[in-house]
Amino acid sequence: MNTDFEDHELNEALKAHFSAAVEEQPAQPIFASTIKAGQRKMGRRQWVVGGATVLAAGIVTTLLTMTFVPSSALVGVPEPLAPAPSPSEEEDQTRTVVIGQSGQPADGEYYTDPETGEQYYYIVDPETGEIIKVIVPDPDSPQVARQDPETGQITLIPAVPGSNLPAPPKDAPEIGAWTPGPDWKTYNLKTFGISVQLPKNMVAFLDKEFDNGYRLDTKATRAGKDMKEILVWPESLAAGNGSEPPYDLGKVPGLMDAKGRQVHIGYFDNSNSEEDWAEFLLMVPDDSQPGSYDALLDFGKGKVYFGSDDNWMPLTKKDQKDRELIVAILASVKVID
Amino acid sequence: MIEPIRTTAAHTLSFEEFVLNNSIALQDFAFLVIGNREDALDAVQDALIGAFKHWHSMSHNPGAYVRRSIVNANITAWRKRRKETPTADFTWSQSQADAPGVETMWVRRICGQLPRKQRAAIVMRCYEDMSFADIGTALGCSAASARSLYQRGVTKLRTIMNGEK
Repeated sequence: MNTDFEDHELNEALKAHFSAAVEEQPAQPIFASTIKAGQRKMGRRQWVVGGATVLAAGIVTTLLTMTFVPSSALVGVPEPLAPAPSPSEEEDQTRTVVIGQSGQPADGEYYTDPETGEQYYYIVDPETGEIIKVIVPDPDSPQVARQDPETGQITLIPAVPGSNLPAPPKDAPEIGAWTPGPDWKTYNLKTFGISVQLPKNMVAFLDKEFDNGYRLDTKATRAGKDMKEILVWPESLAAGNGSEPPYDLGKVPGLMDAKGRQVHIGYFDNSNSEEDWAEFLLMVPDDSQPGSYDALLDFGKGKVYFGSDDNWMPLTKKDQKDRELIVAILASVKVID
Repeated sequence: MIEPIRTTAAHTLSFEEFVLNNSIALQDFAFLVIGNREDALDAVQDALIGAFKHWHSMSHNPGAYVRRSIVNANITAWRKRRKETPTADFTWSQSQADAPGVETMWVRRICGQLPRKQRAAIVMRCYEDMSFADIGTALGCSAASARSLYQRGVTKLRTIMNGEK
């Protein structure tokens, strides 16, 4: 791995600080007896939902009590599992139930209600920490949940394919205003199966060092504060997997994906979050899950991140010119043979 | 499309073996990311409970799963803490032996200024010598993303440290 960009001196300094801090307050090892005791305690708190074992948040006793448990406590007749929680108990665990809210399961699991066959999963509200039960929409009577980016309010609306796109931000210019300049160069990136136009002070090249050849960099040819970089890499990320749906900024005229679907430009607005960044992407509406999107680039799924190379500070919605630039670049993307 | 994910465990360690082999490293990682031993222990505890639940369906790399849980737990704790409003003065009742040392305070003061994912990426890179691919797996992002997180964090740290000189 190329680590030329790393500051080895700083790395060593940090490692020394980290090591010294760890030595100031050494961790205590976790012993087998503690683990076994923890497992037994957890076993008493398990119940089964649709074949998946779920632990109730908040009532699980500690695994790592750091208390030595006598070995005599580890033998004997296993205690039976606790009965399944009543619906009211489960309701207490998940104060909000929404249908079709996009998001990844907090624990990576999807569950099925054994009685109704309903599929659901849990997410954690990033602002409040609240556990939210998300019911996977029934394709026969779909609803979608929309979260107001300003108030955080989640509302349910009937899902009508193509009509539930989130509204563009109020200050977003019309997509037609974002067009490549007349002196932009066109780059054919056959690895990605696309062409892209870039301003004359930017170049595109494939960077195989960090992501197995799946990264495209466009960098300014000159150093300085205005140097920008765009990272594009395919990965299994569907638009809408964030805590909020992406903004749909509109259709890219004439750009269809391999399945003939109209390509849109969207972005995730995280400018109010801790990291304060925005993420642009090419995407297509996901017909199987109305109101959601598939991220798209190079016939597959992709993600576009935009940051400035000099300080790696991300783009925010306040950076209007940068946003116009990146959207203009994305709008220039064409599928090639 | 959403469907239950059930994969055969590719790792061969038992849960007990995993905890025994990794308990110190996980606690140290959590401590450096969170900045305090007690919260770190809580985060490791919760992460291991989560790992235990999914142990038999976990396809590989339980260490990455647990580290990601620790980082996410830290996020949750930070967000909850931000909303808390103290109602009375806090009385420090811990013994002197439990008081944080100079280096711990340094980690809190300096690294505490970074977003948690950058902090985690730096700890994994500088302290645990992990590759960006492994860091990406642990943080749920690509290797390029992990590198980006690391580089942004280091850039900011350099600025902070230079400012202290």
